[in-house]
This record gives sequence, C-alpha cells and structure tokens, in this order.
Amino acid sequence: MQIHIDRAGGQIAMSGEFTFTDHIPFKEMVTEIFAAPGRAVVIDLSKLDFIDSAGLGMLLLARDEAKKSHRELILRHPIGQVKRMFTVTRFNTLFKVEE
Amino acid sequence: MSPVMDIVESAADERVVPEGLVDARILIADDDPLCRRLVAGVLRAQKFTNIAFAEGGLSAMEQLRRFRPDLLLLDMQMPDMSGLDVCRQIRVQADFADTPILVQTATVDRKKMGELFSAGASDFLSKPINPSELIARVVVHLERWNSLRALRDYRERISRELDAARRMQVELLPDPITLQWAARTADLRIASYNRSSSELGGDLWGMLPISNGAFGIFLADFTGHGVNAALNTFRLHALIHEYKALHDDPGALLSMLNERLVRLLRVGQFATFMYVVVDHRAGVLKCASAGAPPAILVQGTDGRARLCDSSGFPLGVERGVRYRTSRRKFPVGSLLLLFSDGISEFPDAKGERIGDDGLLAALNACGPALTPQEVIDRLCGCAGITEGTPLPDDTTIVCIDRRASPRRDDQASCDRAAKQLAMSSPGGGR
Repeated sequence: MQIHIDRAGGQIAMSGEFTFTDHIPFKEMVTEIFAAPGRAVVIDLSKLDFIDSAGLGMLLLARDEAKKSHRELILRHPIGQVKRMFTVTRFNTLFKVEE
Repeated sequence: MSPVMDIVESAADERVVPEGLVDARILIADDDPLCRRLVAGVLRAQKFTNIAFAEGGLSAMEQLRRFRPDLLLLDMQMPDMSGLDVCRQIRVQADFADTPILVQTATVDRKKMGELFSAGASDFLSKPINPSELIARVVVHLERWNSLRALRDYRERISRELDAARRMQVELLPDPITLQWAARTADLRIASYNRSSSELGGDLWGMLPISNGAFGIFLADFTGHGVNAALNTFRLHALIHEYKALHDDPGALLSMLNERLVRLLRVGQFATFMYVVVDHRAGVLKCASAGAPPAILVQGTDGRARLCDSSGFPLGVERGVRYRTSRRKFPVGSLLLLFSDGISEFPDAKGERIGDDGLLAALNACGPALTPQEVIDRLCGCAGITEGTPLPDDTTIVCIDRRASPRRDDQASCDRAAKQLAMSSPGGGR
C-alpha cells in the first residue's frame, strides 16, 4: 500500500492493497492527520485495489479516532473489490462514503 | 624469555568479569601442563572456578562429553590430534555446534588462520598468551553464547506453547465422529477444510446439533490472524455454546453474539460470521450472515450454483444490530458451500485472486460424481492452493452435499458413532 498525505488539506490518498501488513504505517498516519488542525479528514480510496478484513478493522480505528477528536471522516470513491467489501459488511452505512 | 613467563609478567589487568559468567564451564585442552596451569591461573584470578583440563585431543573429546563445557580453550599443536581435527569433530556434534572454541596458536599465518576458522574455531588467541586478551575474549564469547542459548530456549518454549495452543484450537473444531453422525442422520455428506496461516488462526467453524436431525453450521473469521485472533475464536466458541436455545434461530443467535462481542472486542477487531441451520426434513436452510463471504448454493439436481447475499455488519462492530434470518429451499440434490475469504482472496503464483465469482464458476464446473471432499480439493486447486502452499490468511471451507444419498452402511456403524459421541462429549447425549 502507498499513502500520500496532504496535512493542510486533511486528505489521505491510499493506493495498492490495504492489508494486515500495513497496520503500523496506517496507524501512524491516522495519529498524524488527526493531530493536525482541521475539520474533515478525507481518505481517498479511488486508487485502492484491495482491502482485507484487517484493512477494514483499521478503518474502524480511524473512525474511532475521528469520533474522539470530533472530526468528520469521509471515505471517498471506493471501487471494485473495496466497494464490494463495503457493501457486504455494510461499512457504507457506518462511514460517510462519497461515491 | 619463555611464553609462560610472559603470562606472569603482564597479569596485572583489573577488569571485572560480569556476574553470571563466572560459573561457566571452561575446558582447557593443552598437552603442556605448565600452560594448562597458567591459563587456569589467569581464569581463577577472575573468579572462574568451573574449570576442567584435557591433556590432548582425544582427552578433549572425552571431556567434551563428560564435562559439557560452555567454552573450550584449545591448543593448536597437540601430539595425538591437531587442534583443527578437534574443531572439526566437535562441530559435527549437534549439541556443540555453537559452543565457543578459542584456539591458542603461536603462528599468525593467514592461510592457517583461514583453515582454523573453516574448521569451526570461534576465535584465536596468539601465543604468548596475554591475560587481558584471554579474559576479554573469553568474556565476549561466553556472553554471546549465553544470549544465543537464552534466545534458543525462549524460541523453543514459545514454539512448544504455540503447539499446545494449536492442538487446543483443533479440538474446538467438530470431531469426525460427530460430523459423520450428523451427516448420516440427515442423510447427506459433509466435508471440510481448515488451515491456518501460522500455528494459530482466526477462523473457526462448527456444527451444532439441534433436533430431529437438523443441525446448524457456523463459520467465523476474526480480523487478523495469530494469537490475538485465535484467542477470540475461543471466546466465540464459548459464547455460541452459551446460547443453545438460539441455535435454531440464526438471526437471534447472531444478534446475541454481536451484543456480547461488541463489549469484548477492541475497536478494529471483529468477526465475519455465517450461520446456517440445515433442516433436511423440511428441505430448508435458515441463514443469517454478518458480513461473511457469500455462501454458494446449488438448489436441487438441475440447479446452477449461485451466490447467496451475505451482507450484514460483522460481529463486534456496532451495538444493537438486528440480524435477519432468511430461508432458502434445500431439496434433495442440493449443495451448500461455506468458505472464509482465505480461499477467495488467496493470491496465486501470478498474484491473482479467484474471488467469489471464480469459486462460483469452479463449482459449476464440478461434475455431480465428485464427493464433497473432492469438490473442496478441486476448488482449492482452482484458487492455486496446494498441499504445501503457505497461506497468507486462515482458510476454512465447509461443503454440505445432498446431491447423492451417502452410501448406506449398516445401521450398526451409525449407532456406534452415536455411542462414541455420547461418551466423548458431556453434552452429546442430551
């Protein structure tokens, strides 16, 4: 997985595959982005090809972090397998997902 | 001046040997009695007390077995056996493959030194021996040896414990007798596949006998794998058996499990879960799913395989979720396949995944003559999973097959299985 962070804009763009092995970089990134001031945090998923259940679990951690710091978390444009996973696990109703 | 005198004259270093090392067993192998005594004298001056001696190569090999030294100080030139040969003979013994061997040599010939190290020496001490150097090298090698041993002991202990835990986890799965008994009673066949990515896994499946030959099959997959996920499978197993009254009501069971797990699991942990009650008398399946991969169902002899909707919140994510039970026909000739994402998301040699649709197509290509176990093997093959392939994720597949009546053996074997079941599990007779 590759992550590009735009701190000022509160934007994170993820690409590649989001799995078990990305636990540590993702956690660090979440801590960092929520430490920076701002309102909404957007995670752009339009270039993310694959997510497994560990990846979904990490999104839940980000959601928890957003709640704690009274910030809005938006997942933008999931595609393919990621979109299907969101549907089957109803994650599309847990998060604010922008198509 | 002799080399021996050198030792005496320069023995003035006041270094302190770390505690815990002074008990180390040190073997001094030298044919010259004076050398042995003086090397021992330097060691004793530093509080090393556990010292043994060998007068030559053969005696060194003998002492190795009896004294089992932690470190060997070996003279290069001994009349009965060369230091090189002693090194080689020690290193072929598994017990002493890593024991530090410090060779004392008068020559500093590069080619000879090369031979020495390739024969298995750990280090060398040039003669005449300098006491500070001797102590420094002995300490370095003993410390290294100690940490190596501690690491190895630790690894062995962890590996033993993981092994024991793995056996316990295997015992959570349905035993073959119970399964065979349930399958015969319901006049169908059940086959399964379960393999973890490491010693312990986060997948769990089970069979819950209900009544009149009906039974429930569940398949759970916790986030991640390894110890954490595995401990959660034990929790879930206990919870499922706590709610026996709900075993016939998939939606209610899932709702209850969710309420319990949501309070137990940390944020970011959850389980996907599929539960199906198989009622062969009514020819019906009752299903509920918590975000599990879709089950694949073939309805009746002429049916095509299709994916069953399995959407729902995974267990342990949100409080107050009500899961619904859906009913599906399951007449004679039907087949049901449950699987964890370990198979659908397994990356093959090209990095490609078979996916739910690929499994569906593979199942449609399976002829009716295949046994359920053969169906599972075929699907694994299509996904690229073979016997020895390391799995990146825990993988479980369960196949329930009503396509052909199982071979009818005499009633006795069924009764036998039932009896064994009643004896092996305390709740089995109820």
